[in-house]
Amino acid sequence: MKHIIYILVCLFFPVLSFAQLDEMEDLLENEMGERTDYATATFKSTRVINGHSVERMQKGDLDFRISHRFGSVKTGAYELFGIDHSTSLLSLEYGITDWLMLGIGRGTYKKTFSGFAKFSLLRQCSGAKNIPISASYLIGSELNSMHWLNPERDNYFSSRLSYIHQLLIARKLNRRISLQLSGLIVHRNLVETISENNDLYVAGIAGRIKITNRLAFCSEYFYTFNNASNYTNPFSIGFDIETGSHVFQIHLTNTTAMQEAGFLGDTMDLWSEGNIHIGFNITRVFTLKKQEHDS
Amino acid sequence: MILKPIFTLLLISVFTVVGFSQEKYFTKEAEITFVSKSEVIVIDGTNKKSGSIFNINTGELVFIVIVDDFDFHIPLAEEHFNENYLESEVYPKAKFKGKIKDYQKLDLKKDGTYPVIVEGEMKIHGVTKDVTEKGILSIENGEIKAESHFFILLKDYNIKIPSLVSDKVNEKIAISVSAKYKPFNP
Repeated sequence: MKHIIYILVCLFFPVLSFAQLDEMEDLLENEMGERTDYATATFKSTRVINGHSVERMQKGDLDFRISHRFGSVKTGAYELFGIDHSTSLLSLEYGITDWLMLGIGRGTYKKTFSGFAKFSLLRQCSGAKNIPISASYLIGSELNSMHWLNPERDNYFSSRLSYIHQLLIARKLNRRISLQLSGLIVHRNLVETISENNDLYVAGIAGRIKITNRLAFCSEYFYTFNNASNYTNPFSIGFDIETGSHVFQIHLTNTTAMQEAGFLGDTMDLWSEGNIHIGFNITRVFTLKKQEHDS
Repeated sequence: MILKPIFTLLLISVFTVVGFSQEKYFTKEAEITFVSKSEVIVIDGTNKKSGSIFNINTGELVFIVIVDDFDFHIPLAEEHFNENYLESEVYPKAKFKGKIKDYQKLDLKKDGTYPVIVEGEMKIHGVTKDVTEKGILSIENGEIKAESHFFILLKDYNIKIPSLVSDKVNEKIAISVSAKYKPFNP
């Protein structure tokens, strides 16, 4: 009899006290209520490959970007698969607030200076507040600083300019897969031939699949609705490799320009003909302004 | 005669279950900070929205910490903390469940500070570990405050720093916990 009660007590007592802790835990969970979870890092960088991603720099963060696209891999071993020739883009991009970033850049393609502002319109979240997508709007302009093609005719400064409007909509489907759709209008004040339209209408699709926490596969494609027939649509695949404050993006693409008017308007190479280019973007983020938290 | 203490024990355990709803103290604003300090980089985060509940009859306490609620001085560190290290989408909460050792020996009726030892289970990054840490319980005008400072090792909770950055981040993390409790009225 004694033994049975002993055993019963030994069995019961820890169960009871555990149940109590669990009950306290449930109570606390209830009290803390439902919260809003924002999707973070839908993409690892502010660019998927050539085109923008829905991501922005956070407030006070400066992104220094160095990007290169090499010559065609078709040139073979003599040209080290294109690496002997390169175009580049250097840029500085900064988060003014958590919903606005500004960027400036200079690319070798058509000696182009560029500037843009990207606004975060919506942030995907779930829980107490529910928004299924993230959305950003980008407005940019580019300045072609090449010597005039026809110096003898009347040339206007405005002829050097192009404008870009882009609406980006993305969804992080799960922690590995993100998808993005975008629509663009690229207005070129001056085009080279009569067969080219000043306004280009472009649709873009991009995606990312995370392979590990620090390695992701990315791809993007832009479809140009009304470009002259000798131009092609840029398609790129690549990998994002993250190491602390650097992200290395290494890719294969059929375009060598890295600013919108260039890669959307002037791409002529075709994957099917093997005119593929190796390229990379290196981004280094510096935190210029540390976040203040009231303490 | 052995029955008598057992009977008392049973009574106590039943009693605590029944009576304990009035004996709970609670906060939704417990503050948790962590610091990883190396020669190269100091990474720190603060979470002021942690929940805790404390049973003053039994000395049992529970903490729930929403991993995503840590604020950082370096925004990129926050992204990496959530994405790569703590994986807050997979493991959104860190928890502690435990009790104060030899709680019945403490006399908490008077104002004052009482050094205590807390034993229990800590769950971080999906890994549960038994821990025993020192803390301080202080009573002032009926308000209860709990504080603790301790270290954890990232590898104990299966949090890996890749070899490319491992020289920069200190594996040993200093953690401070501070909770001011108020009586819980459901």
